Amino acid sequence: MEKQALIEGIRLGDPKVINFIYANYHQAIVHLVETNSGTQEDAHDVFQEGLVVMYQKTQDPDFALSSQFLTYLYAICRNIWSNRLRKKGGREISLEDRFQETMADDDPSVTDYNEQYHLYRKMFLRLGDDCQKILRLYLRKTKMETIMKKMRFSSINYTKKRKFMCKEKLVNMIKSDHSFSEISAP
Amino acid sequence: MSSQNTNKKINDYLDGALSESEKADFQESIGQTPGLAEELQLWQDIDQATSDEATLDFQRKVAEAGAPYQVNKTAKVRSLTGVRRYLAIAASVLVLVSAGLFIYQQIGDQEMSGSELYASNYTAYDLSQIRKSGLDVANETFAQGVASYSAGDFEQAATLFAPLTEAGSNKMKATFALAHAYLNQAPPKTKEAEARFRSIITDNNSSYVTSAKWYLALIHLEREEIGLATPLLEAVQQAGGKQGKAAAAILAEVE
Repeated sequence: MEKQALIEGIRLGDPKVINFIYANYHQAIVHLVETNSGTQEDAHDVFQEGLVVMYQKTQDPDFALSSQFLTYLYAICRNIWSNRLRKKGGREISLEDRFQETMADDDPSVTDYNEQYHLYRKMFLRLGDDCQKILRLYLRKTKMETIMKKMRFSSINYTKKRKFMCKEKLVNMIKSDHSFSEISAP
Repeated sequence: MSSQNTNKKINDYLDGALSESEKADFQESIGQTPGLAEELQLWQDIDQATSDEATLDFQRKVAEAGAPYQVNKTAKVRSLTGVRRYLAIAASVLVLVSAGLFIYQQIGDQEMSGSELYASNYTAYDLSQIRKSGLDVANETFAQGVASYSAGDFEQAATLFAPLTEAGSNKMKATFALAHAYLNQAPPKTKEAEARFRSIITDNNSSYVTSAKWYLALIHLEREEIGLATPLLEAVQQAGGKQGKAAAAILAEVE
């Protein structure tokens, strides 16, 4: 698949393209993370974060990819993992990787990417369907009365209570995730 | 202020539900209470992150596509693609070793902990469903209990439901409601809720049996008692419906 098709697929969130990217590029990121003190789970998380960063970049109409697709994705993931390791160890680290030379002039910045937000969204997606629905409606500034009707709740008070419980549950899930303290470090 | 009260205050502050004087008090306490400013910031950041629905939906698609690639949480293992490649080489050297590795890869470990499964599956039961079902609408105490429950006063709801569980044709309905009132208290009275769900299951003569199994299974999951949760989830799965589907998903996750 051509790189422009990949970029367009990411921009549109095309599941076929996402599957293609997994099938062809996931292993490279696994290798990067595993050879630099990470686990399979770390690698998986970094890969997903990398794709989300790419998605956000492709929303910019001026975004243009001058390097190869994998080179760019790899550089993003490399930076994400580098940042994570730095927060874990509290020091600058130098990753060993097989693409280091090709990265030198083409290392995209991920400084505008909020790592915590990835975790918040990840945990949100693990909430039950009802909680996701209530919180989405709330965040769209939907009136409580409308939420109550859509959710078929019995009262506005109960709707408020449920919304609070869902949000509190989300906060607790985030805090209990093992990566929360790491990525929250300055 | 307890953690629960702090959370409620933050929630109400962000919702604009505090009176002017309460708002002023809360704002003053931000500078005086260690950790409160950070906690408030966290709640605001979560809203900020999750209000970006386009990114949220993209992340969901990425997570769904990645499910087959996700394996053990802590072990350093290879992805499925890596395993296949490894097997192709290793098989020519040592068939037994590669077969063993293959089996190890296929089995994998559970993806989410029991407590995470509980958190992502438990939603407070809407007791008004019972009232709307037409059962015993005239029972004033029960109606008051439901009203208290709906208003979030779970302690009062439990007090009202408790005597109704002793006798009468609707005692299982009251027992079910009482269990939920216990489960929603802060902190949750899970032992008390568990006992009520068990009594419904033992009675086995009401329309709440499957739901009781579902919620009891969630309680076991929250305690990481996967072995105790599994047979209950299997029963719920067999019964079908929304809970049946959710039970099937959890069983697939823990197996």
